[in-house]
Amino acid sequence: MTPALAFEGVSAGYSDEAIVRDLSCTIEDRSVTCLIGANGAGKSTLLKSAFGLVRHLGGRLIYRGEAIHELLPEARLQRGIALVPQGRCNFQDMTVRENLWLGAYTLARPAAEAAIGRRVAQFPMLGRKWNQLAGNLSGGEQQILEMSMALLVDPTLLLLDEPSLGLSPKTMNEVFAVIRALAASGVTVVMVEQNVHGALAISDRVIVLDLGQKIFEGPPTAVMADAHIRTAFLGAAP
Amino acid sequence: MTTQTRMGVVALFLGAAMSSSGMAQEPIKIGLTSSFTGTAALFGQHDRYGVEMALAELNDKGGVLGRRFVLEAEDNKCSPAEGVKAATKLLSEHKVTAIIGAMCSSVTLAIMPLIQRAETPLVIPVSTSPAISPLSGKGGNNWAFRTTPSDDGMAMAIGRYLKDKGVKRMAVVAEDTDYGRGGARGMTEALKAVGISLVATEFIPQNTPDFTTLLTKIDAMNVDRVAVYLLSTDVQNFFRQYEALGARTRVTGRAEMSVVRGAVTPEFLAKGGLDGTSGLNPYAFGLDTPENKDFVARFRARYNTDPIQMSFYSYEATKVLAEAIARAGKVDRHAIREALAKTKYKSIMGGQIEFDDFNQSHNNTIMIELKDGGKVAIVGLYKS
Amino acid sequence: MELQYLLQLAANGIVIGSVYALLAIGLSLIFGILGVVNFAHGEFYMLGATATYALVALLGLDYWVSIVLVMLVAAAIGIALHDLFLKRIGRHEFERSMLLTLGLAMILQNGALAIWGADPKFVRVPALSGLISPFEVRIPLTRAAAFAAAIAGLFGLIYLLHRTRLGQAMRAVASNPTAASVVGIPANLIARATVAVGLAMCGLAGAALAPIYTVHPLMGTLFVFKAFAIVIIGGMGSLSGAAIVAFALGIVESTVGAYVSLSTTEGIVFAVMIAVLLFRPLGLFGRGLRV
Repeated sequence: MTPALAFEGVSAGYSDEAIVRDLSCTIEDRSVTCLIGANGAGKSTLLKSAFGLVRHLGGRLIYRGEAIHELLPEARLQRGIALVPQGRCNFQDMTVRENLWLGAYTLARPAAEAAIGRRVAQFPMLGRKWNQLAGNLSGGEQQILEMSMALLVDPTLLLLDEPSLGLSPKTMNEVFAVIRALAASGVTVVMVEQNVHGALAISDRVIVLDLGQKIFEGPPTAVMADAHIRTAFLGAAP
Repeated sequence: MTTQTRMGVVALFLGAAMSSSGMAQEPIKIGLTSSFTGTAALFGQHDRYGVEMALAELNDKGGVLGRRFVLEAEDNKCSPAEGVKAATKLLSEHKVTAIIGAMCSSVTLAIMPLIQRAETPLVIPVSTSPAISPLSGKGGNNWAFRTTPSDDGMAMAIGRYLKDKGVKRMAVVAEDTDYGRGGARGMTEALKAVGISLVATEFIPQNTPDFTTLLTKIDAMNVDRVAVYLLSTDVQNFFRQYEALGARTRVTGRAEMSVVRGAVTPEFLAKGGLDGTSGLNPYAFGLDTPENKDFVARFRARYNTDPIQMSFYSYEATKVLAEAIARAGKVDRHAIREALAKTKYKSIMGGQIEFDDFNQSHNNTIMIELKDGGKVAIVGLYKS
Repeated sequence: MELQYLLQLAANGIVIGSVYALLAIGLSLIFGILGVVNFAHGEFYMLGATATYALVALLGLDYWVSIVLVMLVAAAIGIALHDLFLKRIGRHEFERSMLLTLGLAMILQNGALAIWGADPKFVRVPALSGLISPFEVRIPLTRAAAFAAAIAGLFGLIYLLHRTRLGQAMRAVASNPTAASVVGIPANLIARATVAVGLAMCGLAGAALAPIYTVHPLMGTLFVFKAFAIVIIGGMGSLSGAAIVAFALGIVESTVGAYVSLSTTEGIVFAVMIAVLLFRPLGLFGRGLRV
């Protein structure tokens, strides 16, 4: 396998203070990688650093052979990197239609129209709630909307921050199913997920973070086998 | 002759010699403080012109009591702190006999306690603040004398003019500052005194951009005149919108007619849009009397420019002071003060300069009107 | 008579309200998208009026051409303002933005005083002399024109925000800056365009009002305080809120001012602002860039 994304000694944070410190790892192309770790370990920061939403404090970020750590988010998006941040990250006071069009902001009009059509076909809910304000959708519907927005640009690397947060078990399963389908279609996925057991089931690789540094990397089976990590981060099975 | 008698004769002789020739050589020092620099520099310059011209004319006739006058002038930059410095210098360094000044009312108010302590007469030719009178004469400071009409006095003059015009109902518009509030209060009292009813008083903030509501409201009040107490920029804005809205109520007050005319279009003036607008001036060089024409001619000959309020009032204040020194019969500050209090001086403006219980004189003022398509006309003299 | 008087007052109020709206919306727009309160807004309005004076009275240019030119120049100044200063200020650095724009206001005001002096200047547009008098209501043509310009500006802005890609992106940034970055909206370019549009509105207001008022360095101070009150009452960043409050204020000022007293009205505006801050901190119409 070839690496899609490589972190080379990356430090990043919200101010001058680094939250992710001197971290190196590689994300294999067409793989699903899950980041786990305690609150404040730096998982979200690492995801955002790949998209350029936090301050880059050191190291290099190589995407398919190109250094991207100095690029603006919109430039990374054009290279096929998309992020779905944690929490409700859509335009609450705009309609579903407007949200989708904004999701396709970087695309030309015909391409945008086609991409939106494909997503609406994939998730009929979007069509049903076409003229409703995003803020009035349920949590699961908003998550679907946000993922749809990210997928409009047909990303090759999708960064997902807590995709199952606040969802009912049924919707959660739907979301995981979507991620699995994406991976199957060739999209590289990196996600942060609280629901570790659900996430590990669809992951090829796991990276464990603690205090901004990588403390473990390996396949899910190896993580499950590590007694220390299991007790520290996985807790009791749901 | 005894030695004692001989000494006495010598002393008598010396004394006579000193009073006839020796003292005649020592001039009388008059102090002037005004704003010679800063934004009011032009006014200060005219203050100086007036005083210098009066002293020159007096000296040409041999001065008074056989003594000539000299002038000591100190700048106060229209600042009370600078004014106190200037007055202190005039009093303790130059030891002047009397002071003329200090132009800006705030400065005059600041130096009044100093001249009282130094027991030196102060003649005030330009400051018009109503706050000065209540402190002077019976008000406590009997060393300060004001020859110019105060703002209150000028409001009285406007009241008399309005009475002449048969005005029955009035409104007042004033900016919400000391100037505007003082003007409105003076106007209210003047209207009461002459028996004109005041329908409404409106205060507006300085730099108010929009006057349409105000103008609409005034027109709806059906008053005969509105008295306006606004300063330069606001006056121009007011008249500009007055023209645009085609307001009908005629305006009176203290505005300079040159400023008013500059704010509207020539066409509006020509069709009589502002005819009937009036403004009271303490002085106008265009006053057509033999006394004033003579004064203006002498002033022009000396300075090659027309006199303004400051030069005129400073000129007459100096004359009033010299006349009081002559009547006092000696250069003694207390005697001069007594003489000033009994002043009866015939002003070029036709009025009599004499001081009331608050050392305030009530000279005539000039009412100027726009007439016959916006032409400036002096319509009469009114006692302040 | 009474009805006609009321109509006259309402007409005065609507015209002045439209100008309040132009100023307040520019202020609200910049706040909504950059999180910056532009304390120099009144000075840019003053510059707009002064530029109109320079073009019309000094260079003898056509008034209507001048309006367009002034808006373009104002937009260019907006771009410079953004690139030189506002770009360096984060969304939540309120103190810095306040000090910076306040300082700028002082420099512009005193600079104008130093360059042009305090003497008021007049812009005369012969084509706009005279009145129209529908139903006996006297409306100077200069005011009718200012109203038309303001309405054109407001509808232009609504069109921009709802019918163009740029406007959509502006609303997106105002609604959720993170989400806007995530979908690839270039935050910097949008912020720059916003300041340009906001200042163009200022320029339009200055150009529209120059033939009505006297042009001088302090002409913006009182207006901008009103604009602040309007933005706060309407809800910071809410454009429709600002517009509604602006027109309401114009009408209330004109009628209450006529029936009670003008100084009372001045107090009422700021009393309402304080009440809103205490009881509805988000303003009557809430936050968010909505039209």
